[in-house]
Amino acid sequence: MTTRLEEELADAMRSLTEGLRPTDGLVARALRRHRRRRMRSVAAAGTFVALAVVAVAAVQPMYARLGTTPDEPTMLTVAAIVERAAAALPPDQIQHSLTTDTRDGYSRECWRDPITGDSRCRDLPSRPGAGDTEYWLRVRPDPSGGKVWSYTMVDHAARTWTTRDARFPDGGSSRELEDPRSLFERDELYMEGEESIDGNDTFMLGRQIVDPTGIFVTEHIWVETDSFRLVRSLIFDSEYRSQTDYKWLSRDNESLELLNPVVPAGYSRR
Amino acid sequence: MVRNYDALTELVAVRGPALLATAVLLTGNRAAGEDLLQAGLERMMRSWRRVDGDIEAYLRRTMYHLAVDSWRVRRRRPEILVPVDPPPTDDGFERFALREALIRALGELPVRQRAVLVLRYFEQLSETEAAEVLGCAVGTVKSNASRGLSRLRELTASWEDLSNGVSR
Repeated sequence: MTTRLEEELADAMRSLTEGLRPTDGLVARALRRHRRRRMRSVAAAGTFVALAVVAVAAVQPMYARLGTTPDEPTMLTVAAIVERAAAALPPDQIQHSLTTDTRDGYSRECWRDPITGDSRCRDLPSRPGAGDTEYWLRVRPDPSGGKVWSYTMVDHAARTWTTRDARFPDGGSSRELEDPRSLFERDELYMEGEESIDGNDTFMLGRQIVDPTGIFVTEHIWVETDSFRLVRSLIFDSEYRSQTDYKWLSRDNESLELLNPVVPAGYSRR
Repeated sequence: MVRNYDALTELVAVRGPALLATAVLLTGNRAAGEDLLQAGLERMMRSWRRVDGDIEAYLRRTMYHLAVDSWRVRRRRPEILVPVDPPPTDDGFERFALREALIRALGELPVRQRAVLVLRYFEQLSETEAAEVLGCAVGTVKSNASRGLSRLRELTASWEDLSNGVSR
């Protein structure tokens, strides 16, 4: 059964669009925009295009199908993207993150070894009077069970340093640098769209969160469309914004050395 | 590496008018519609390696998602819906005016409702097919279609028979 409104609406839409034709050169214009976008990443893209093609071929059979016939196009669901993004987090590379936080006015640069749990962070002051501290956490098994966490903290403003150990049973304490895997373990992500970040195409996912104070905040997460590697996360509301950019370094002597505490000469111990 | 987009050129040459029609209905005007179609083509070029099968269906789906996503990201405009009165005379002009009013009212709807109405009444898709294109539940399509039609009915309430009239 069709109402007259529905009939008139269909007629109105057909009348409006009758005789429309795209202007000449539409595909060429799209191609020029596409190429300009790709130009920014051509150096990086050139090196991994072959890898991406292999990767796409490998995961193609796993792509979720929205349709039911073989001729229908494939498109990943948000759940499939989240699953691949979680699986793409490197278990054996050093995680590097740079966080800028408008509430406390700092930038924090961190490195984390996912194998040992060792981490290092430096707070970079972005305004006068803000702290300039650096701290290392080294996690080692406790012979009597649990773990020993050794903290080293350097205050560059005061030119002092301190260290202390703490023992925790397995699973104890929550002061370890957050594992980005947790970003993908919470539900309710939805697709915001696709964006280019530093020349890399990314899926942009989002979720709404009620923070502990009862305020609604929005979280966005970007993962590369080719590798599903986490690129960025952002939490914001009307007055607050905290963005973290992620990179991964090979776990070699050079990157592991970053996790060894270093106290500059001339600093006094507190 | 140069990719071959001949298939897209051929698609636009053959199906360009129909694709542009969908884009114009989704955006509300011709210029924005062509921008949406171009953005859909660009998005397909970016995803070309992952496109498999019916490229027109993929492009249409991409355009619908772009239209709906842009609505999601933008702060929604406050909706100011003004009822449209019919002209005083009852002749061929009334029908023309009614169509104009419906198109204007369609452009005022939230884009998800608009997308559902375009899919259902322009593309002539079933509720299930529309849900597949939008990547949502059939119930979402039903509720958006119902709300969209209800808004259109409110806006054109002055046209007698239109609100309650049933054909076929």
